[in-house]
Amino acid sequence: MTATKTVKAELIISSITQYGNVFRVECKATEPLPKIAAGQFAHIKVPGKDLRRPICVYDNTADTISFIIASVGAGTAAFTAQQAGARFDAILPLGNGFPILPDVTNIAVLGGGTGCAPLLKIAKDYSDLNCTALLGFPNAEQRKVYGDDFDRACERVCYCTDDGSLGYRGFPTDLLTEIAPEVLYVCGAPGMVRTAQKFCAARGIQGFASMEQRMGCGVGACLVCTVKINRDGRIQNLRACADGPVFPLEEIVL
Amino acid sequence: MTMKTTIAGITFKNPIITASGTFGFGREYNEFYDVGLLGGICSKGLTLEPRQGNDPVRIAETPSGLLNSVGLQNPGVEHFIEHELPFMKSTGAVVIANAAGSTESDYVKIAERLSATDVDMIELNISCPNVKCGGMAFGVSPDGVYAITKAVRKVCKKPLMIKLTPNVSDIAENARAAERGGADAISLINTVAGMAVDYKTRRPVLKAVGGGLSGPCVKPIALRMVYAASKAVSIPVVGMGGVMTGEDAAEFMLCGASAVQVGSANIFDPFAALRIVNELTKLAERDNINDITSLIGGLRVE
Repeated sequence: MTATKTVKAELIISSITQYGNVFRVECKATEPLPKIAAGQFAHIKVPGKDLRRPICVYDNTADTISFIIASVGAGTAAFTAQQAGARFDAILPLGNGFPILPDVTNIAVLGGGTGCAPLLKIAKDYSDLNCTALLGFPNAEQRKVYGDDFDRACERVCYCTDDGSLGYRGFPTDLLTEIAPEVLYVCGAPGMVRTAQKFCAARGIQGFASMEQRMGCGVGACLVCTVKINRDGRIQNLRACADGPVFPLEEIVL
Repeated sequence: MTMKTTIAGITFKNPIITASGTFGFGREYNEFYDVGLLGGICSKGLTLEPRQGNDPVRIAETPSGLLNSVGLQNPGVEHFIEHELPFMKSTGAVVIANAAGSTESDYVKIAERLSATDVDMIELNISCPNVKCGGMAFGVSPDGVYAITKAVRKVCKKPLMIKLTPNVSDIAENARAAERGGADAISLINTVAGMAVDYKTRRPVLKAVGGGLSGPCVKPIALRMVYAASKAVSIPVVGMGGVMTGEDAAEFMLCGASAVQVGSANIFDPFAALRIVNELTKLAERDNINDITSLIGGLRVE
């Protein structure tokens, strides 16, 4: 449960920019937005669809909010087909964000593709932390949706591409040993989360990952978006929407 | 003007009840509005022991609806009684405990246990399509409906509502079987058995393959079944299936429903159930309906 009140916010798209199948959607809110923590999400209304789509908050101010959305299915395609000026509502903020631990200075965020999106706010909201970003993409083109946002917010950014067209050629997880963070924040494919989990376990450091699952209500009632979590000595089906989407790495059962 | 409706001696402040499995135990939605403004709240389907439910994916979108295969994940009836029921009672809405099981003995035991609490009513889920032995064995045939209703009736000290599945050959027969078995009310329809396929991966979307279809797409099926069931019995009928607006609720009442349940709409929008209460109230005001129960069974058929 979040301390701030969850609202249905009326949003207006101020710009929508396409980078391949990924879209950067900048919006204005018609009323001041509640406080949103890094890693929390919005459950957004899509034109012509009954079910909402859970999208992490990429960045926000008191009256603007932005999302990074990959067009991967009928819902995200319908949403990203909208033009500037389109209005929609979003239930926000939902879920539990990334916890910031006391007495820590060196952190790293580890993301892959659109999974980088929920990580930016960690670096932006906690600018006194020394944050290294390890960001992986198939190629240089796929990184463009983020502009230089991570470069401005983080102490250091390591771009990694599968084809070597930008930065390090290989997985961003390859660089974990070199960076040696005190806490690791992850959002990416299961393989990335698994590698991060092993790294943290071997080093005895804490890590957190944001998990994804097909969602229904988004508020914790319908029990559709379950994630397997090993907690209190047993494997439980917990709700990505209300118990997560961020879980301690060591509890996640992949 | 009054929005009150009465089922089995229980008075609801309005005819809008949230459907089992779409509203948890009311806590989450109470963060958005005072759920005590609703007529009633049905609990998540309860079993004697806690259940983990099915593996995900548990939801698929369909044209005008959704499929789910949650599989009765719930914390068990004892946890419900200790931790959830006091909250539900404190809201002021009528509290309906939805009870499920695998065997007749399960149903009898859970009804006995719930009878010793202050739940206002028990809704017997003999029609969950998402678990093996989820009561469907009892819910499909009229004989099965009669037998389980009769067995539970013997021990049940609360008003007993039997939730019927639409996946049957003749809904009127099953409605009559519930009445004959001693039900105080029936509710329908539970979800329609269905599935979704992802052509690209050549796999079913739901891990459990099949699921239960709900939402506006099932409303015509539900209206027809509520109409047929209400003609067949003299006990009250609670209608559900794709109720999205106050007018939808009024349509179900015209077909014979004394109250309606709102399910998928809660999943689409956390404010839906309260909006539907307000819409139905405005509709009654606009159309000079002084007593909302005057709609019940008022369908004009030439």
